[in-house]
Amino acid sequence: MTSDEEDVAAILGGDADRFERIVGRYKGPLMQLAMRFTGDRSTAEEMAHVAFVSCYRALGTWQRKSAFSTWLFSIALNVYRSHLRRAQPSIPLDEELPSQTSLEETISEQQEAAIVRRAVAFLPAKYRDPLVTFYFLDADLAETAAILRLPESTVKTRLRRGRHLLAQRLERQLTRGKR
Amino acid sequence: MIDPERIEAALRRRSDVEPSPFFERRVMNEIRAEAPAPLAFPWRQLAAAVMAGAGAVTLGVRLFPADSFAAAAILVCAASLAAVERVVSLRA
Repeated sequence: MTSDEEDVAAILGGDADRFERIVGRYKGPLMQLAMRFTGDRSTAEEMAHVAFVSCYRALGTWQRKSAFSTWLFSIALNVYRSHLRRAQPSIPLDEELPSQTSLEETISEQQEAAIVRRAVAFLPAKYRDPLVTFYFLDADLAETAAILRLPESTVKTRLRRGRHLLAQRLERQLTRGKR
Repeated sequence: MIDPERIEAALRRRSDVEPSPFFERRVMNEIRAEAPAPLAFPWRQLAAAVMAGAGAVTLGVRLFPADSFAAAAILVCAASLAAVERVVSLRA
């Protein structure tokens, strides 16, 4: 039995305090996942908070068909997506972004990742969600499709188009940076 | 053209963002306020009830061959009521 399974069993047995261990283990990843959808730190934190509470409420429905982390991330993804349907993503102000930086210039890997993350946050949701799920969660095609409740063929197409759109947008940024 | 591999690597890279220090406490305060703990959904009981229902139908057909449909319906209703009662009492 994994530590996640042990904790879930204890919580379902009535020990709600054991949920603190789950929060401790996953607060970082859930916060980082939220930052892929919104650049605003406090919004990301609020989203992660709601995701944990939703997870606690739904804990009894986890059927152990998938890893606990996969199940938790799929709950968080739904929370984040529904949050963003009501609000537009904001520009990540708390990440150190070089202004008008080109990807060809020498910039740190962290800055490069921040630029890409910002571009992803502004993609249409149908491309953003598969990209985030596939790459951030390191999920394979089948897992991504299961989490997003889409056919694998649709996920495959959206990943391809999403990557293309992302490259186009980054290219535009690159061109602007050169002017 | 930007190297697609660089984009993919950037997409996979995780940042070191962590929530604020009191995040855990805030979440746990809400969780404790939500107590009692959520109950495990009684999958086993539900499966047992379904199997009992299926058994009842078979038995009903054997016992009352002349009016097997009515007998089966009565037995299924009884089994379903017992299952619902069991689920409700578990979640109460």
